[in-house]
Amino acid sequence: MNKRTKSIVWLAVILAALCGFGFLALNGLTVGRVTIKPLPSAIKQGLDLTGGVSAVFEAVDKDDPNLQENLNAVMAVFRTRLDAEGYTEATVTQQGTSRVRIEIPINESQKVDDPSEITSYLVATAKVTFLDNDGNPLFEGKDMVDVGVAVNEANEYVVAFELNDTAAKTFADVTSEYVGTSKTISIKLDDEVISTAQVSSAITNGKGQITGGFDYESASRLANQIRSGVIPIDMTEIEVRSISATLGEGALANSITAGIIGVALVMIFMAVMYKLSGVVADIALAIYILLVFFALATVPGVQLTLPGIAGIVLAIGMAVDANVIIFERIREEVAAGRSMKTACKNGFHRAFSAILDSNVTTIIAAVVLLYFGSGTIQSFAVTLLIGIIASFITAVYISRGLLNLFINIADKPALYCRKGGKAA
Amino acid sequence: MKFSRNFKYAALVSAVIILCGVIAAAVWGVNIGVDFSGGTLLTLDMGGPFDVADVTAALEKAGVTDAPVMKSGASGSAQTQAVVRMKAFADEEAENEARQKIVEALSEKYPDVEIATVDRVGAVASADLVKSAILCVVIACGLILVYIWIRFELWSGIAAVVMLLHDVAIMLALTIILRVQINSPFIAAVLTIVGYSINNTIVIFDRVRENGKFKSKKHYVLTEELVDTSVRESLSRSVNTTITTLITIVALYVLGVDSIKEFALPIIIGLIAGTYSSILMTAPFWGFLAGKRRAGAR
Repeated sequence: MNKRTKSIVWLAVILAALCGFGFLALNGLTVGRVTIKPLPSAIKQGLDLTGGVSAVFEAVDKDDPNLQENLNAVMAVFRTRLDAEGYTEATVTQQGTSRVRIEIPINESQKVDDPSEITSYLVATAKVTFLDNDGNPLFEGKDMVDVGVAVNEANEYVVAFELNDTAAKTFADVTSEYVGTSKTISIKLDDEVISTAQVSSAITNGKGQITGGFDYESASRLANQIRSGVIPIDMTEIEVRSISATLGEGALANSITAGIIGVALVMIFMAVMYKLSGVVADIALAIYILLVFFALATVPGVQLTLPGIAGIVLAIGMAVDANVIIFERIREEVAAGRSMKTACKNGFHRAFSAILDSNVTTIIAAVVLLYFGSGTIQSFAVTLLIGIIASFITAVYISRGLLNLFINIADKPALYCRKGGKAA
Repeated sequence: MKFSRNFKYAALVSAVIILCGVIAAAVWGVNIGVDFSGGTLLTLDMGGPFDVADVTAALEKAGVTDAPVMKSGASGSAQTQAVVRMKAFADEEAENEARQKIVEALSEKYPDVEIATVDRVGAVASADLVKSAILCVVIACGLILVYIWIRFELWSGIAAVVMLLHDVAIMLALTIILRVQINSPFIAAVLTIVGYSINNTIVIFDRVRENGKFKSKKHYVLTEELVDTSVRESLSRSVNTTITTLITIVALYVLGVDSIKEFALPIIIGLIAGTYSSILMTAPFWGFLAGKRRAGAR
């Protein structure tokens, strides 16, 4: 087999493999017990694409000596409360030294009217206290061992609870004393008295209920809050963002269309400007796109957000840049009368320092964003970073191999370069 | 073309644009988004075409005054969203209630109305965002300066960073003149341009380094001829690269939703400004600085 045939075979194999991977990435595959998920579904989408709520809470007292400990407790409470409401995919993370960020993806089935409903449910201290006639505390939410929603005799929704032994005894003593008198027991939620009642019979079994004009939802939320425990420090909400799921879907669809059109136009531009070299760049670009999506699906902690999509689309334009630099160099070499083979070798060699330096500086910008930015800015930085690294691999190494294969098959410079250009 | 002789004219054009930006900022003020000003941005999906006056009336009913309402929606489709910009309420509860009231008031005439997005940023968070945004730009520029200093020489680093700041200034000026909202995506756009426009500069500097055949850092001698030749030789690359990147970002701008447009437009401005400055000004400016230094050393 001569060099030319060999190159044709190699090229065919590479193109077939590329098509294969592309198909696999889009459709996924199941062979026996092994299932490969289609890449798009494996990419974690940010809140601005799925719809959802994000909020940042800050501790009011930042000089608290036990701040970290208390924040951990707060985060644990948030977690429990979120899970109790069915938001198991929500994330709770600490930001800086005094902040907690929550992100809750919300799909159509869990739709809420207003994001503040969730955030105020989360951040409420939820300290329930039972008070005697003189306003002294008898027991608190933390003394309740079994809390749930129930319906009482008056057909009202209430939060029913069972007390631990110590509190049960206190409750029994006080209720026995109050029976038949005009003395009352009050229930305080945070700083507000939500109900006050006379005692009709002594409660000795440690079971009781919290009344306060609840509907099912508010009763079950209070039950969840009591179960999850009291938020130990005051937290204030400093940032809330929410986006409806329908809006997110629209944004994603628009950006994908923009991406496809953009890529198609870039490919046509390259093929027209750089002929066969341009075709090589187009194949490299296809590999680049596959690599980026693969990285997005597999690198942990990566989320695709709207600015992230913009980062990818932008990086596509930049990915082509390295090829442009190289091909312009090759054109100069060819104009200086070198053979296509030598021109290719020299072109890559001489373009390398420019490509390296320019990539490093862009990486610097991306890393700074990653480190100092927050939220969506970070996800933009990650996609940009992935884009730069992938483009370095495809534009410098992969396109070089491909171009050599093409040159082995046909090496007329006129096929690879437009006319003109200064001799190097 | 004599790039070295004429770079001062290019600088004059830039100065005029930046001056216009400053005047625009003074006359109209800057359209700063909730990320940096604090406050609440409420987007209502009205479920169909609507009248801005109805929304304003509903806001008044809920006790919200001085809140501008804008129509919005994906391009090509009817504008069915109302974007309301409210000042921050001191109390969260009061704000939540006000939101419910707005929706209730509107649902009489627009039964399908629902809250599409809520962006509420408190004063503390917004101050932090501004701080970290400025920090990002300063640190990125500083690190890039050091890298170029190591790979080339000090004056090239200074020339490159001054031109980066120029690109950012042009972006800011035109964004203000075009009344586009400045929000945290703008910072991402600025950093993207910082990273991208330095590419253009470095490719040209690389050409200068190669053509100059300098023996060491001390031997960088930048004649006008060397600078002009190097810029000219990298011209088709500079232009072609910008075209490919512009293609993708313009596609995003044309088809994207509002939040994407807000991000894509500054990038488009920055791309053009960055290409303009790196072709017409950066290398001549390096030559100018290096020339001054040599004259001083003599």
